[in-house]
Amino acid sequence: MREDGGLWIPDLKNNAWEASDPEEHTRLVLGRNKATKSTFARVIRLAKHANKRHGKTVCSFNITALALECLEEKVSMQDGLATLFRHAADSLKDGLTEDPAGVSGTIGVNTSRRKEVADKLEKLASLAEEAVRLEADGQDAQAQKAWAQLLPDAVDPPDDEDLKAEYAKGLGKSNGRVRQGVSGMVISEGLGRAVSSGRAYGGERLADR
Amino acid sequence: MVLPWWRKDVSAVLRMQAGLKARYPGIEKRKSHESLTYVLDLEVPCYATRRVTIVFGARHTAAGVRVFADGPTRSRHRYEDGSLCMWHPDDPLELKWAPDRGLADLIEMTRRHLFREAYWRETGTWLGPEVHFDEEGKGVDV
Repeated sequence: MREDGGLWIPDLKNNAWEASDPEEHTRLVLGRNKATKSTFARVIRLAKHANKRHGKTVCSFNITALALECLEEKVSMQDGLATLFRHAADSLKDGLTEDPAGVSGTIGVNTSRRKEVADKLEKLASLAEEAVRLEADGQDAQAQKAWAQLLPDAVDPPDDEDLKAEYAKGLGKSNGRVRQGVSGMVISEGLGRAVSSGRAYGGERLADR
Repeated sequence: MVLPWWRKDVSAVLRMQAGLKARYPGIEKRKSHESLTYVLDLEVPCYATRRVTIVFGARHTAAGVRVFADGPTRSRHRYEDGSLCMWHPDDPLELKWAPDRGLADLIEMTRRHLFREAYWRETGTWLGPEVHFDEEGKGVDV
């Protein structure tokens, strides 16, 4: 036991003792889960899955600690994931995550460069935000495509025919709403990057151009 | 000997390639006296991935780029050499690709065009703006 709370945990790899407070962590998680009507636990379960499937650049406990910093009330799973990954990306850009119990200092990351972690989390945040926006715009198949990229094996890719019908509707009008999103080609007013317009042509190539 | 544009204006090539490797990690670049070529596998949503070849010829300006794709060639909008007809050369700048918009922009135009071609082969409907010429050689929107 530590005098100022928590425990000394043996670190056999480095032949040392590490301060930790697992009881306080449990208390914090249970309290937050109750306050969010269990969405906290569900969101971090999916976020841990995404983290694992995208290179596991941070440890699972780091995801929990980041979620404690940003998920305070009940939200939808989609908004919760977008909020958590946005906070994670911004937070890791600034520095390592503090132990939520305030005992063991900062939480290390699984790569030699913190920027690499922040970049990876930025991509996950952008994917989640894009999926939320596409869903709000009624582009359900494209939203599902983005969720499937974020959460492989947890969310199935959309049916090809549904996705094709959605693209066809958007591409049929003009080029203006066909953009390049994080998840690929998207039909949207403002997501991602604009792509140059053009009228497809069917004649001879004119001179040397 | 007249140097091709990519040897005369190296900074324009660098600007055109900005962010390319990060967005398309598998893209390959080949350079010879005759051409500057980029090759990549491009995912076309809902259809097969296509190998795309972007060719800048030594005798042409950068805006005269040719874009080819493997797979079926039947299309409403291809040139005789099989390259994609994505814009009309006489259209205003806002309706065609220009090198200062970057290769990434050209690649996304290509993805959009290949989706439209595949959809047309399947359904007979061409999605989006297109132009053909009437008997008098005037451009007609269809």
